Amino acid sequence: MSLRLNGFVCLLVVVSIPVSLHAQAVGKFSQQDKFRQLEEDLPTPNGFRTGSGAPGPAYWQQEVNYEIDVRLDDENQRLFGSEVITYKNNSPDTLRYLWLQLDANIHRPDSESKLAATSPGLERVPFKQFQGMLARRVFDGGITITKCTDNSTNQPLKYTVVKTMMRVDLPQPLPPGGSFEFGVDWYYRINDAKVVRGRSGYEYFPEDGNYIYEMAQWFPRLCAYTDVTGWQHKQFLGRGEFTLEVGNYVVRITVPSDHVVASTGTLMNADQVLSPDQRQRLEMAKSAEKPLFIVTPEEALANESSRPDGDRTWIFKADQVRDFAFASSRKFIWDALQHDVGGAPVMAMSFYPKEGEPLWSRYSTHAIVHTLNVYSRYTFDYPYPVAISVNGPVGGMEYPMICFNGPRPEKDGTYSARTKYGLISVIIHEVGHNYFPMIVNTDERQWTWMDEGLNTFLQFLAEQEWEEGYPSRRGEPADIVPFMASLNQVPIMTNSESILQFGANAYAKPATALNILRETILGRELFDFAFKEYARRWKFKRPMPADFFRTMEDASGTDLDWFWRGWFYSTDHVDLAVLGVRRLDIQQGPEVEKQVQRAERQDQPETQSAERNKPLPKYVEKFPELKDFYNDYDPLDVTPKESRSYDKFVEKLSEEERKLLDADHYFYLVDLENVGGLVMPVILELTFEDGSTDLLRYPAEIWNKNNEAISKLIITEKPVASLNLDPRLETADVDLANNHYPPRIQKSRFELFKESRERPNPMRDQQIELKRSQQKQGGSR
Amino acid sequence: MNHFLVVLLMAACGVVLPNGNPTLSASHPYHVSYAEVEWNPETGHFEVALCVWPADLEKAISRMSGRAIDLDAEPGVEAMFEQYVARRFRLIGDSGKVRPIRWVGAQVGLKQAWLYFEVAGDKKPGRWTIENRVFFELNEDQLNQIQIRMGPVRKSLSSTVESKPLSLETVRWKPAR
Ligand SMILES: [Zn+2]
Repeated sequence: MSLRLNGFVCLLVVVSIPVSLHAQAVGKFSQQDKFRQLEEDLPTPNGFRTGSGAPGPAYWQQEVNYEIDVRLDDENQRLFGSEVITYKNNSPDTLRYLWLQLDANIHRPDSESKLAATSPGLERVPFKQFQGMLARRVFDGGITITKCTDNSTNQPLKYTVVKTMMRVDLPQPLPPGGSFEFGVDWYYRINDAKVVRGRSGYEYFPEDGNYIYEMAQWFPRLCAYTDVTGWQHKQFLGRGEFTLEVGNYVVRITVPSDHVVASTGTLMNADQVLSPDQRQRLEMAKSAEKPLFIVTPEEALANESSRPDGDRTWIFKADQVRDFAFASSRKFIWDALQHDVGGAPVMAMSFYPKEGEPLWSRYSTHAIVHTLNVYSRYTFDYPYPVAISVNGPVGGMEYPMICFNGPRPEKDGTYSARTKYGLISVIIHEVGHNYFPMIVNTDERQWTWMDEGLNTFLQFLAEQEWEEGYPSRRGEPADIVPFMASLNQVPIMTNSESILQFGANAYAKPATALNILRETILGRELFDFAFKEYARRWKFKRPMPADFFRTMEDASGTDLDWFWRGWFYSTDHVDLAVLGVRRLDIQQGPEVEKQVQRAERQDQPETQSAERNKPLPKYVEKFPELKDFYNDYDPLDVTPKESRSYDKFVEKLSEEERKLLDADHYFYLVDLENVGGLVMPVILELTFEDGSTDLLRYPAEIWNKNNEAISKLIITEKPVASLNLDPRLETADVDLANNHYPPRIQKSRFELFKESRERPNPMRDQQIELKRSQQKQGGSR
Repeated sequence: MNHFLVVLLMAACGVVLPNGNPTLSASHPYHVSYAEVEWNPETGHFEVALCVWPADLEKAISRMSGRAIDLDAEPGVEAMFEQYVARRFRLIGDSGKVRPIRWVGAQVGLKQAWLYFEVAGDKKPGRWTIENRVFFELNEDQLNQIQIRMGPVRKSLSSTVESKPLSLETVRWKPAR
């Protein structure tokens, strides 16, 4: 079908009419300004954070160093700790008190997290949740502070515990540039992470009577004190993660003598805690091509039935980290592979029980190496000496240099494709968190998207570089469509604890938005440069949302305020529609043009006054000598001069231009409507009558004067048969039914499936057979 | 041909956090399903295309059958889907009777699994209660989105562990276009 719809309209006339034909504004102009600049909403730039999005000349952050002795009680599942904290006040403010985080208090039976939770409809509580609710009622994993003293005087310090936080009153105000050293001793009961779930805890294996401990948020940590909020004052409710200060750590971890410890930092006393064999294997891993076992599966199995001969202390040192976590068990198999990132060696290592095999030895360490390669390319070189993935009770959680990942195969060693990809994806994600928020140190408790969104975006890039067609769950625009169309949404720019649809809002939507920004708005080159610049500027520093928005604009040289406004500050979705297409014809030469103008003049209605004035006698009729040339002149007659000048104009054209003028061109006005509210580029696929196609791209700014409805003139050399908006699904357009001209009936998914079902599919049963036989082999390898 | 508009009323669901107790939530939650429900006024049936995360489906089916099931290697897995869906996705008529489902089929990939089934409704307009409780037994932060479609008209609903069953009404509808 062709688009010969409208007859004879002169192009020259049409283009002189304002482009917007549809929006009848109520009042003077009732539309929201989707391109309104963000600067009135963003914080005013200052000496700490500049208008370009970079740290300012007066940027500061506190420094907190820890020296910690910690003992794991494997008999009673308790943790005993003693720490010396050195707090360096780099702020311009004098501090009279310090705030610490006591995250274990979330496991007190009366914790705010439990009180603030809304109640589920009781008839539908799943058993597991019920069990958890009961267990949390009786379990007291709250922290007990046994000592808090000023190190210089050895005098007790006054402190006040406020739920998951603790205020320590300073004996003297701490001036700018001053340091304060103090000690805290504590203990708490460790939670069974399978029952009282959290980001940390132990797992008990009844078959062999052993435990795996994954310890995080296990020591009183300084709250962040910043130029933006002063003291971080949000309680730990469980979902909003952490905001912490960067510092240096020395940690001495005392565990049963037969435990293997995986930890943030560099092991300082390998000769005391590792066997000569293990040390030699670690040395070999430095030049190995594939991961090597440091503790083999056979050794780990033997360890399961060993008994400790006392304790052993592992010493780790970590510089420039914002947190510290470790894992410990006698069940651990351990493999390692050294990998160079930007010329610096990184030991990639995995720790897992036999229950993780054969999946873990096959994929974990390789997934770490792959993550470091890809993430470093888009940000900065990984700056730490180790990168570790541990299998235990925690499903997926990240800390500096170490992360905890849950997926395991079945008991018989088989695993489905979904378990395999689930493991690879979670390792990429958690190792990837080293970059955001461990090194680019964002406030997770306030803005979940700043680490989860950026990390999920890079996770998508890394997954797509793992293997072709990797089944990434988030990243492709089409995958966010159901969420974008759903109700009960809040903007991405919402505090962590108030987010509805958490996973979609804080992970998938920002990740998809960034992918669209990269592929469709800025292009890979500009985007990658700007994104890398953001990472570089804020490495080991603390950016806020405005710093990200501003840097991306500053470094790409592009005003993206409309993009942040639409994707991050609103719940609008993308739904552009083709309303109609009108064919226009061009006319050439003054004769044709004026003929058209005369026709138009004739079409003008005669006003009432003109009609009534017509029969009145006119003065010049009485004195004909008053008439001259102008009384007979019709400006729409073609004068000889005009003819000559047109001929001259044609003469001056190059041959190419003249060809263009003579060629048959087709002019179409495409009427577009923005149904969803989110402005986006217009991507139009034209299919010509001869079957060939062309893709036209117009920037989002096409909507900047009218963001509800516009008409766009397109010129082609061949007649157009049909139009398709966003043919490659780049924009997360939620309704594709209105993207076609001529309109197409969009069948429902159900109908399409039913139709396809009617065709026989002999391959299917064969595939099942094939898959089953492969599975059996895979599991036993 | 008669056209009807599906008018949706969300039963006093209010605005609740989809995540019951935050300490319970996995560190990286993303537990969402998506259903397209279209009422076919000619047959009176509700035609459902339910999109789920295949790893969740695998877990749910394994749990229901008490053994580990690999969706790609299990013969007759569709019968299990049907059994599972019948328990967790229910349309209840005015009389309070749960309407039977009729299984149509499934497409299971690594990224998505689509389950197709019909629920016997009525040709006359009426009031319905819709329950979509898939994976509530697995994930306390599970969010099940339902899009009701009738021609060009779309309405979104969502169902969480905490929300009450959703009610919807099919009433006479004249074509909007
Ligand atoms: Zn994450």
